Amino acid sequence: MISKDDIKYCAKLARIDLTSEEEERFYNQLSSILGYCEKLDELDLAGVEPIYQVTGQINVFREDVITNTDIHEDLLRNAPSREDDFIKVKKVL
Amino acid sequence: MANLNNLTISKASELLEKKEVSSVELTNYYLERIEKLNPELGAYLSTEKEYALKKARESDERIKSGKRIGILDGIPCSVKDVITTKDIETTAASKILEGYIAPYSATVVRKIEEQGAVILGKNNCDEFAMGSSTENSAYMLAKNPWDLSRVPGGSSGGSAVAVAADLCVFSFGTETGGSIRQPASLCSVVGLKPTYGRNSRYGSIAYGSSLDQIGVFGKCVEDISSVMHVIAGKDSLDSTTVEYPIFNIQYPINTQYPMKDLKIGIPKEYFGEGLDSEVEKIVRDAIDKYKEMGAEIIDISLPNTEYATPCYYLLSMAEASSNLARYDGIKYGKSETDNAKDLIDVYFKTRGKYFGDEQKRKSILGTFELSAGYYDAYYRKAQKARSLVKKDFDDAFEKIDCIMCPVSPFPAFKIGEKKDDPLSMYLADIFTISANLAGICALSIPAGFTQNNLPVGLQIMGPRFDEDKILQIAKAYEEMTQWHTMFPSI
Repeated sequence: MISKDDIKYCAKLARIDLTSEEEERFYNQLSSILGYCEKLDELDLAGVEPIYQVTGQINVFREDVITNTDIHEDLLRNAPSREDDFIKVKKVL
Repeated sequence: MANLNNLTISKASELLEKKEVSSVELTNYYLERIEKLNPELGAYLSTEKEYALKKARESDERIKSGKRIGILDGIPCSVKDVITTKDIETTAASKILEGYIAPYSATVVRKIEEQGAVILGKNNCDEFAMGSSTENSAYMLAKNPWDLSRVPGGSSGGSAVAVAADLCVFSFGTETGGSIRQPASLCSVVGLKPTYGRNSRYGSIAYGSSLDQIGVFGKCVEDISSVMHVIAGKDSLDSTTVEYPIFNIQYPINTQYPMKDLKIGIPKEYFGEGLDSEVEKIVRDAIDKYKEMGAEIIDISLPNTEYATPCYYLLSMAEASSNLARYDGIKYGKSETDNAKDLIDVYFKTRGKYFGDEQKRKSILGTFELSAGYYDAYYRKAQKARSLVKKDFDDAFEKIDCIMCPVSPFPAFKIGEKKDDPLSMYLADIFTISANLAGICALSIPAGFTQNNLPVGLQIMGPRFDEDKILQIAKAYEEMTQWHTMFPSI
């Protein structure tokens, strides 16, 4: 089960500001969702291997060569704040 | 001028070849319909009039000089707004990506544009493809063209409406847990979820990366096949694509699988409590048609079905929480820098302000599941349960060719009916999510209407990479019925 403190803590880990109304509403909704998901406890999973992806492929590689043309303007144009060729952000330290 | 109502790819292509219509005329036909009907229907978030007409003119030049590329050249289509289109806004129906201009096109978009397809615009959907009704779109509602007080389904609701209401010839959608098949069923169009790995996901804004797949909506089965032939194939930009002969997907569809040799599995777990009685009758009648054709109907069991939904939600929420982490107001999208006190506060405030409820719920619960102390109890347990669900299908397909069952437990529900109860919305997906967990191919084909004239689809699921087979099986039903010729009167 999930507690209100868990929700506050996970919102912090997920870097999301919640209003107190959202905290309350999500507590009810997330409790019922997680409660439903606990149905998996009925399963006997002894000896069952977890599955990460269905294709069965392993280590798909390509040659380490540059294939992009110069697209840095296309990329930078979406930055909320930029200066020359840099994305501008608030002080890190 | 030729009759342009409800054209399929084949019919539109024929008209273009015979020069009975030009691509520009066809494109304008759809643009005018969109202008008139989209404010009510909400199928498109944006239309690209200049872009589309430019592509249409290029197509007409090719047709005039006898250099038409192929069956898709000059055919107007639309793309779900979680799929990137270079130089055209892609929002994922979220405010956090308002104004975002993708620097690249998805591989499937590039492929159809290389074939000359004309993209009319971006389709409305649930925000970040998270939802089953398109009510989670941060921009506008989409409405079911068969009953405007009801949802078209989701998350690819806009893409389904665009085809059903004749606002394009075909469209792209995406699936993580049924988001193509369910709206296809609710809107009476054909919708295919290809095998995971069949076509590239490069350019599809990720929700659950081990579950997501891009697929196609069309007015008939042949159209799905025409598009799949173009988009299928290994892509170096998506390492989960598999080298598999694309010629396996035929068009025109061949008749290699005679229906009299077909073994159809009917899973008992899909016909129990909770299934609307009208939906059940329509689906069973559809299966009876195959019996008439000589197919053998075999009762089967997929014993882990009841565990598939909780398994799906645990895995998709965990993967979603990872995939949503990139929306931080730094490299692209909206940013709440002005109100933030420091860098970390930019993340908190941006995501707090611009994410929808579903993104917040999934991020929080997904983070919870993956956190130390809970990882084994929830996420790892779900990964093991997924093994069991997949095995059910592997075992079943050893004895049968395909599985037939309902798509949705109920027909289109009223707008607003499930919006405040996320769990109730999640339970709309019970018949579709298993195919995403197992990574198999599955489609919905129109199978009839309820007393209230609401569409009901038949679901056909097939083994991995057997799209060709299930498309042929679907086409056989189409040839015996008239459902695919019916269109809503709007």
